[in-house]
Amino acid sequence: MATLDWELTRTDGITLVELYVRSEADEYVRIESNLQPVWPPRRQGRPRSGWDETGFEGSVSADSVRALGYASPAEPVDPPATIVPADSPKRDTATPETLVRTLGDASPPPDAIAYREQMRSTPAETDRRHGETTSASTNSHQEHVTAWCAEIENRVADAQQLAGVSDVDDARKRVAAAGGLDAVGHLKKQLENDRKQLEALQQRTATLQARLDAVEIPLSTLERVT
Amino acid sequence: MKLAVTGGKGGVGKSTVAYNLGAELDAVVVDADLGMADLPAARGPDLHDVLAGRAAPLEAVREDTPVPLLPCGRSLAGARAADPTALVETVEQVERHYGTVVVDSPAGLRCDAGLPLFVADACLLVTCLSRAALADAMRARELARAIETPLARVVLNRVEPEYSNSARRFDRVASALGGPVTTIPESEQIMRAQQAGQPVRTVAPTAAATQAFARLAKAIPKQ
Repeated sequence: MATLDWELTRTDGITLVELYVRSEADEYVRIESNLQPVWPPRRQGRPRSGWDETGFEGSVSADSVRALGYASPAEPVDPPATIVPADSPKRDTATPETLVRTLGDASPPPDAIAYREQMRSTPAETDRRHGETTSASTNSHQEHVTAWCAEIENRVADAQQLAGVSDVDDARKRVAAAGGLDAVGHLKKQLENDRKQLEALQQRTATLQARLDAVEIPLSTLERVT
Repeated sequence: MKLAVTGGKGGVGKSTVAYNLGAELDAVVVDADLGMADLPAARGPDLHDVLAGRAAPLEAVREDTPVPLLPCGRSLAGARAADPTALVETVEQVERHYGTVVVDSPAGLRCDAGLPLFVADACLLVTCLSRAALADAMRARELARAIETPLARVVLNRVEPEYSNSARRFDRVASALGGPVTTIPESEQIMRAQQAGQPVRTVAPTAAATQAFARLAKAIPKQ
């Protein structure tokens, strides 16, 4: 029967859990965390192999200690985790999650998005994208929308920094960089608001686009008859 | 039936093959090359929107293009916001509604190439008669094996006239990649058709290229 030792650290509103699993015989174990939610170690943005929303599952050798680490926003609890009966090990077949983890995420890095936004904010780039404008007010409307979209993209980039946590140290650094857990909570609310606003805007612009497509001023006819 | 058109190396003509095969099979083509969309662009929700949860898969399928198409997005921010694993459910929904899906997969061996293989019933490996293309095709073949996606056909694309009868070369490719080969000739007509956003069979119904795509479609076993 496997046994569990642990160390707990609480810092910046996060509990860091270090677990040491030992067994006298080779064994397959399931470890359920008593702290929820579990923030598992991650690779390519996905929980590392064996980790899920409530704990970890894997094998322990008779002659070595298996060390595991994870984090949780919950307050420390003693014991932080429990060994529970495990089913026989799952076969390591491909799943979408394991494919992302092993093959690598192909998304562009956040720096590339920030660079694009920098380029867009230069006057030359803004003029080129907007083409000929006939009035100062049109310019300012477009600038306003562009600026609003840039703000949302910055918030999304911030959120992606927090989502791409790879281990416990990383989690600590990123939450600190974001200004603490309260700031993270506030960012989440802002993003929800962004979602709703963009959805409403999308519906409105789709209708407007359809109307634009359907309307055609018969200028040459009007010129002839008036 | 869900088919992934893959190939490992960029520039071998995967998207052209996917588009023309889609026309022959009366399929919906999904442009899953998230980093470099090169099938015809379209207004309205695209694959980036679907993978980020902003649109349902069927909303993004364009039926007014020459070949029904779920276009890819074209922004870095859109590519970043997309959840690549959502491609699986997307392709399955499109198949349930339309029957046959051809997924134009990106070059390379990262998850954006692996996930179309994962969701597909079988794959087509597109390559050319160049060392670089064949080397990358071998790697793509290994990836398909690892993900347990059967190989329906090797497509030896852009075969120049002087090689059109090189049966020995084609056999070597077939045995290296472990699958039967269909050749598609290098063709000005294919290129012009693709530039016009049309399948070659619309633009040149009796061309050798058109016949080659028809042969390719017939050679794919029903999944």
